Amino acid sequence: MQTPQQLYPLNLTVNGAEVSAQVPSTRRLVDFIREDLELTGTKVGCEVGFCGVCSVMLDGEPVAACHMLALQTDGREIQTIEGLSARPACAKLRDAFVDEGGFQCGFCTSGQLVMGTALLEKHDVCEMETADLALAMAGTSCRCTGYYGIHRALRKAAQ
Amino acid sequence: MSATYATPNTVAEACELLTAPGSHALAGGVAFTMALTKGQVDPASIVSLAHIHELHGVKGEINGALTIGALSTHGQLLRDKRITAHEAQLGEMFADVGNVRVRAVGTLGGNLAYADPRHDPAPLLGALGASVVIESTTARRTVPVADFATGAFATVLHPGELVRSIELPARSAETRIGWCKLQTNSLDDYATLSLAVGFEESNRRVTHPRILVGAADTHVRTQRAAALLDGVELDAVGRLASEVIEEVADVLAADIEPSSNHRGSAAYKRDLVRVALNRALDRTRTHSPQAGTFR
Ligand SMILES: Cc1cc2nc3c(=O)[nH]c(=O)nc-3n(C[C@H](O)[C@H](O)[C@H](O)COP(=O)(O)OP(=O)(O)OC[C@H]3O[C@@H](n4cnc5c(N)ncnc54)[C@H](O)[C@@H]3O)c2cc1C
Ligand code: FES
Ligand code: FES
Repeated sequence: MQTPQQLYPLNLTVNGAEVSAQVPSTRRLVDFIREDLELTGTKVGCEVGFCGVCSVMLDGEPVAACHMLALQTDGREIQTIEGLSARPACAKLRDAFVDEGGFQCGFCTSGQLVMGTALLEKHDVCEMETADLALAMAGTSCRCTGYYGIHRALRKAAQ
Repeated sequence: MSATYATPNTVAEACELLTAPGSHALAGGVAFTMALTKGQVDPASIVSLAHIHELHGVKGEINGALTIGALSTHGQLLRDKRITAHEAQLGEMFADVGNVRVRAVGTLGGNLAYADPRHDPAPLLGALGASVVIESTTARRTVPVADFATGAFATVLHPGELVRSIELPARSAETRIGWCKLQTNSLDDYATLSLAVGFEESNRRVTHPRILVGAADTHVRTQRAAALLDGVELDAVGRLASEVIEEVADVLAADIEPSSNHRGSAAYKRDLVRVALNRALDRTRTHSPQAGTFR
């Protein structure tokens, strides 16, 4: 006989709104965001931390929602791609992605915008060498663009 | 499968909960959540350490020793001036752990406790003579980082014990440290091989040599190789004779047991030991940063 799954309360702020939910202890943050909150802009890719499509902001720092439990965000604040354009750096970067060809299929784009916004907020991207820019964005893979468009967009948004 | 979830506020409470069969500590959750995804763990209970105040933060002693709380993240440590003042290569090493997301949540305690042989901190901390402070409901004990992992994904931790802190001893002016991480894939990937060497320089001779190898897929016994360095002469600029280095590299290459994988063949990794040893020894004399480090 299967024991019913025990649920735990989870209270957090998501894109500025207070959310209360009940989740099993083993629920991953990415599944909570996509399936329970139905915010599907956050993607699931490698599930081992390397690709970055599951990136969200947690208390203003980018984290991977695939290697974190939902309950770890109790009492904290997350921002997903759906709410990220409230940050000025993201709004600029989104427009620059369109102008500079920062995407093709678009699967990686929400992750790129989360990681790119975090980078723009902390560093002067205009002053960065190309190699440093690539290292700073390491772990945010794109299988379409070859990264040139993404780098151009980051530099444009930084101006 | 239904795992319970607890958020104790003290080490004592956490240790008590961790004595139960099937209980797992949760720190940053990086390794734990991936193990869940892969079906490698089926926890009966999850004990989150996040609310335990005493596991957070770095404390400095007057003599320069540092006590690093188990929940310190890689990101916090690479930005901590006391850590980089103790040894600049620690800053580089933490800056090179995975990517910025991993560094934001992954903790040093979790990194050591998971004991993945590809991890970076253990070799360098071991060369620096650091120790792991382990606590249970009944006792506290201290184990050198070099002896903490007993094999791949295996440590000296017993059920009911947790890592409280990592202690870096006061640095003596005679301590020489060199670290080298070699990556064959992208720079955010795990090391293909890493190596740290440490010794005390006394009257232009090597004393108390230690060598730690990471990412060789198995627990590495380096005592045989390190012993070859004991008492060896250093030249005017702190170099060892190249014949000695060759001999040490040969013994290391024979004693590590790498497996062939997408990061390179076993034979290639044995060859890399030679490269890593030479570079690490070079860095015991100079303090130039390794290329490809972004913070
Ligand atoms: C994409 C990616 C790249 C990475 N690259 C690197 C790299 O280049 N170098 C590197 O070194 N690492 C790398 N890592 C690994 C990462 O550093 C570790 O997974 C992380 O540090 C683990 O810490 P955590 O706090 O998340 O541990 P958790 O996942 O919370 O815990 C890991 C294990 O340790 C146990 N545990 C945790 N804390 C304690 C404690 N205080 N006492 C006792 N047991 C405890 C848990 O029960 C669990 O079994 C990478 C990870 C990813 C996802
Ligand atoms: S799905 Fe999380 S990093 Fe790839
Ligand atoms: S746009 Fe297709 S993966 Fe980046």
